[in-house]
Amino acid sequence: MTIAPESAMTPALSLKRISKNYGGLEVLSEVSFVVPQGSIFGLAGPNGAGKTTLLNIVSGFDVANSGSKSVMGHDATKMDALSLSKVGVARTFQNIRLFKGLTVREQVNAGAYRHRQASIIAGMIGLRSQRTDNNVTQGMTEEALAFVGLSDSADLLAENLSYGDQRRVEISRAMATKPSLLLLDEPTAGMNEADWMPIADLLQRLRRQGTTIVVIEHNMRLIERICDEIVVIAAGAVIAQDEPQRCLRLPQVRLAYFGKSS
Amino acid sequence: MLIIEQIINGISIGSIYAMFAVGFGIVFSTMQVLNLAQGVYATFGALFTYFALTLIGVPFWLAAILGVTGAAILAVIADQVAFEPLRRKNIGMLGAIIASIGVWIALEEVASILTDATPIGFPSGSIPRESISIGGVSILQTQVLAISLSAIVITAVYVLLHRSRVGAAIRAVGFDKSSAMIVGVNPRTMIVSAALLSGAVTGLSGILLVGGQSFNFTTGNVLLLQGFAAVVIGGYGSVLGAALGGVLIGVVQTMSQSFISSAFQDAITFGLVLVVLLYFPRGLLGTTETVRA
Amino acid sequence: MNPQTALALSALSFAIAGSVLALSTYIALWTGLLSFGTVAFAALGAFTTTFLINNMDLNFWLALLVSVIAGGIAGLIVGKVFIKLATHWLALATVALVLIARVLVVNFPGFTGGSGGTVVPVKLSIWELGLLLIFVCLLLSRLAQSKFGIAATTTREDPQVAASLGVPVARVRVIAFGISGALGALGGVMLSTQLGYIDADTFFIALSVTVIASVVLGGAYHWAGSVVGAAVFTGLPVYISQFMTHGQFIINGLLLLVIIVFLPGGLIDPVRWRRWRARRAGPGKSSQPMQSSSTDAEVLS
Repeated sequence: MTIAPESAMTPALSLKRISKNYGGLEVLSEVSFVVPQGSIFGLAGPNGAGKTTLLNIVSGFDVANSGSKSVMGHDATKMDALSLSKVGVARTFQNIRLFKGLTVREQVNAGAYRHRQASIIAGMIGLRSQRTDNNVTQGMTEEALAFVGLSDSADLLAENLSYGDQRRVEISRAMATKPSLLLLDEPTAGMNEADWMPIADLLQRLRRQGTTIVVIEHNMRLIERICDEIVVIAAGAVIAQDEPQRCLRLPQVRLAYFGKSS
Repeated sequence: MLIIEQIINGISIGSIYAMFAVGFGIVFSTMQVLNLAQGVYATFGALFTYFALTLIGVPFWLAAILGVTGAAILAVIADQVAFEPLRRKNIGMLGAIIASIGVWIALEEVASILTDATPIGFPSGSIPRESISIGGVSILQTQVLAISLSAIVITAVYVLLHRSRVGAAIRAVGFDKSSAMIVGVNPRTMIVSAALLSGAVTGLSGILLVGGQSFNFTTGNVLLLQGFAAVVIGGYGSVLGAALGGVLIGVVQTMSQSFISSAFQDAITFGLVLVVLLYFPRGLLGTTETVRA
Repeated sequence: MNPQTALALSALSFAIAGSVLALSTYIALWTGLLSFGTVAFAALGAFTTTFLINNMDLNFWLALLVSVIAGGIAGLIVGKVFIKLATHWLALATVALVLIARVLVVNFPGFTGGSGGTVVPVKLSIWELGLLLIFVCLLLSRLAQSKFGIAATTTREDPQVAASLGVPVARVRVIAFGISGALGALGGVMLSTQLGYIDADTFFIALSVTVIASVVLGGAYHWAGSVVGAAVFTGLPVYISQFMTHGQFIINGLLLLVIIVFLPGGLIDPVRWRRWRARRAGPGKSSQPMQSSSTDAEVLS
């Protein structure tokens, strides 16, 4: 698929002066940045900086107090999670949120929900449109499973899988939505190199397919390896935005992470 | 004169609703536990008092104390037998509601067996039946008792919950159990205390409701419904709100009974509940609790 | 027929009617909403059918159809109005609904016979009841395998995540309420034909509690659970009433407690069985290592 030049200019995500406070506590202040389409964009910063809150706002899980956001050129400031899923936003979570009691295949199949065309009534009566839907989503599910390497475990209960595999299920489920913008919240938290390297490769493969990825990460090597650009957030504000190599060596970034310049 | 007397009737019954609502609210608003068995504790308050009067033959004030104590102990037993295992397994709100339904129907049947499913009443002579006259308006002594006792108990509960360390500890546990534990509060003790207190208060409201009339094993259910309506209308999370809601419902019901028809009482009360839930979720004095999805 | 068989048949009839009522509550619970409203819809259905038969000489099955449709519409309206409430407040709002419904029944004697109640002139045979139940079960089985099934389950388990995957959570819940209304009306009619006489207290809190208990006990995670639960909670008491006059509700109450503590998923709990089978199968094999580049999966769109 060739991307027409004009739409290639449209950022996947554009944030303008996003601010959020809880009562008197200011969690985000005037955060602005632009994520180009087809890139892997990193959100870095020390713990408690507000990165997850920002992701929640972008994905419709929380509402900003002021500022605007646009996704793929659509004004998304007022959109909730459901509307955002329709413009192609999908995400994973810091604390894994898989559906209780469902197998791996069923989790990923749920991800393909938005591609179903048949109405709910059609589903009840068992019209042909329902069956076509099932076939189509089944294909997407198998594809998403294979992409993350979970096809063999597809019939196991997702909650019985190892921690690393559960993260893969979450990513697979998000992938099944065929997102234009994929938001990942610490997808490799707690993983050693043998586990996170394949995830890094997976993200790069996704990027080759044209998916824009925004990833919150603490793993510096991962960030340097796959991110085209990163934004560093500390105490709710953007303190740096650049290529990872340059960004992570800036004095204010080191100060934010380590508390003193090195 | 008639209207004033009706208003006083309304305030009198309303203060009983208010007391129940406050007791109910201790566990509902403060601990986020919807305990549908609370009404049966009220029934048992009256029941234990009845047995103390008829089987042991103590004066009424002592029988009432025994009744209240009995209801409080019952509440604690029910909490530890039914709700504690659920808390340990971390089963959510829905499971807790179902469990309270189980306690409700089991206890109501026990009350039915104990009373042989026939109406009973406190022996005549144990309750004062005279009325006093204030400014030309006559009020029953029992009504004066109900209003003043409710005011005292509700104030005491408010002071306990909002001005004492125990109260703060109880509210802390209801708000965030793990944080409460970190600062040294024993959640188990607090939960049992809350159950004890709410059982006592609702038990007392049952005794006052019954007063000199006959009652049966389903009497407490009336209090449960009105009490829950009072908490919703008065505002979730507020002791004073629940009390206000109770009095309001008492007055509205009494007025509609005399001036419209007794059949519509419930419709008005619960129509109001729906209106409040849908359009004024904070109620009269409520805290910012999420009623909206 | 001998009295034993008659009693067993009666118990079965009540169990079947109770199943349909339980399924009405189940479908709301499937989307994560505890609704006490089934009995209000049951009252609507029962009184509508009885009125149409007694006062307008309508054929029973036609009256039933009208009632079920009325129940469905009522359910949709209630769902639409209540949907903005958070789950436990919605449960309380449905309690308020039941109380208001009772007042309405008492105060429109022309339609319902008021506090005196009304006689139900039709009695359905066990076969007719069974056929209706089978029809309902087929419908639910269909739903479970359809897009609705996925939507409902994910809505129940995690509505926020479900919404982010494109599940229209609010719409699913309103539709569930509509179906709940229709099934409630159907169950109400079925129950009324077995009772022979209905009044304002027939469809009240006690029945509501029985219905919810049936769903929870039988298994809130599968429609078959409601049928099993109703058999225990509705049918069983009718049968053992010959042995003990008191104490049924104590047993029911204790049963409810035991189930919710030890088998929170109820008797029919597919998730528990799956976990059980997974444990018996032993430690699962670890997932295959991800390849750096997979050939088939790489779709160049």
